[in-house]
Amino acid sequence: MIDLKYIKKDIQVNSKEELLETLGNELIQNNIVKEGFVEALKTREGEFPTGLPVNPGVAIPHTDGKLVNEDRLVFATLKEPVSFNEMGGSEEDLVDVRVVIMLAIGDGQQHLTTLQKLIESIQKEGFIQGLIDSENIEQMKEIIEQNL
Amino acid sequence: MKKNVIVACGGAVATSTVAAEKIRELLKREGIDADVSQYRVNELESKKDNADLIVTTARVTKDLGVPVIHGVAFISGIGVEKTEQQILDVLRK
Repeated sequence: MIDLKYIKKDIQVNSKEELLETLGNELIQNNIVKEGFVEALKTREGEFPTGLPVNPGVAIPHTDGKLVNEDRLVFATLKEPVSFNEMGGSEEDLVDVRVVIMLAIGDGQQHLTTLQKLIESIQKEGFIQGLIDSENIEQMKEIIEQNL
Repeated sequence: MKKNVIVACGGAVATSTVAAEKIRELLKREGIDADVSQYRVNELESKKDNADLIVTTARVTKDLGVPVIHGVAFISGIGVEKTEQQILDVLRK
């Protein structure tokens, strides 16, 4: 589920829409997910935002599994933060997101288990900051494997 | 009397499952007898009637006539104690 190809360091985007497009379109091109995945992510993010008010901020965009061919977790650190709405917050609750973990998981139960594990990891000291401080994607992968 | 707590999230049941587990632990620790059930936010209208408290990880703007607590702290790990206190305050009233 974790693949060096989908670990990104210091990507540069101007908005969460551009971020979801950049990460999602690569999954579509490689046939990991079906057409429409990016729109589904955007719709869900609009209805049920996934910005987590931790420091540094994290977002965990995800959508239901119908459009997923192969399970993947996409990890990305951002050079400049982009603004996400806060999970469960009101319109004006924004989170400056530095790390994005996007889930593409087909099976509902697997999706749930992974999301739960991820949430526990995000609360671990050193995981998110460790991703930001990593010098390269190999190091990011190591940190992910240690914490997930 | 046994309390009824609803935990609700947006789409899948993922975030509400995490929050519900934490709430069950809290209530057990504090000796509060309660049923904790999980729904999606769009099901709240039809499920709210017997609830003493609703904790959500997705936004609820409508007044449901039941106390609603924002449970994102259980997901982020930040501000958990404050949220736990809010829950206890409602259930001990």
